[in-house]
Amino acid sequence: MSNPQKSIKGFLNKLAKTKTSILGLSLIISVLLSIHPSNGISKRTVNRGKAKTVKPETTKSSMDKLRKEAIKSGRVKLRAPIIAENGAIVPVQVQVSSPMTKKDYVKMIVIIIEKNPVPLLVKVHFTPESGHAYFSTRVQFAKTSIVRAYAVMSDGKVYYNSKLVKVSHGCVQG
Amino acid sequence: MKSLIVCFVVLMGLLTLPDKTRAIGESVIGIKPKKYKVGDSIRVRATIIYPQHTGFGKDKKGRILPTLFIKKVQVYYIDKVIISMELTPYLSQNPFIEFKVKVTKAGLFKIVWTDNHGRKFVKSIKIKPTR
Repeated sequence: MSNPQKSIKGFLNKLAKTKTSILGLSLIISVLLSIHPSNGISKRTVNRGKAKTVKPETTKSSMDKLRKEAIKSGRVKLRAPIIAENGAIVPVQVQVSSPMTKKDYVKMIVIIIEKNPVPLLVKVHFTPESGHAYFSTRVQFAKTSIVRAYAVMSDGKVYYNSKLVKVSHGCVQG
Repeated sequence: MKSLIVCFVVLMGLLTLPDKTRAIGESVIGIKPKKYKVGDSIRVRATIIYPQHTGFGKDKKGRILPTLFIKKVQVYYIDKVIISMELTPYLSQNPFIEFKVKVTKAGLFKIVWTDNHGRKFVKSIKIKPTR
């Protein structure tokens, strides 16, 4: 086994001999510089303006954070076929496990079909008198898409579940 | 001669049978299971005859069909709204809904369908729990 430092040096020497070595080295250095946060161009400009050096959160990252905190998977049972031959009539069934008492009950079930021209399908409002949080319908699918079911609880928590439905013939109207 | 008369009667009978096609706005409610007690949960299934025009579809001559769909459904159990729904045109033609309800006492069960023009279609069914 040779010394790793020596082997790296040898590799670099070999690179230097070749004509393309300069280009390759410059590429590596530029990549390293771009990865390292302290060498970013954006931070320099911020420092010049004497503004606060707080990294601005992008909307996407903040939304992802919110989703992770607020929306949890589980408790929602979503039933839909894996492959639907006719997109005009696709059965979709949603069931949420909840005691449905006055303190703890399901306020609302929302079903969304992503690839439809109107993605929001239905909002179902429940009361503690209804006894069960269960709902099923037949739906029109324009094309293959993901179905999402959200359950809003009385304490403000949101649970969700999703499923992909492959549609071989989308409905005529969509 | 007799057979001819029989044939004639059968034909006339077939012609005068009631038309099974339902008019727009007619709704049906069904309850499963048929026998239940107080405290049981029942499945309520309801449909309404209605064309769900999304606004993107066209008729045979190529004209765009204007939107026409059921927008709101309210479920009453003994003069109190238990479940209410906001629907969009992407429910399938002749929309069908199903939900579960816990039986507390005998009374009237009413479903009110409202379309996007504000027209209302009401259908009710009696709930009689067996003792």
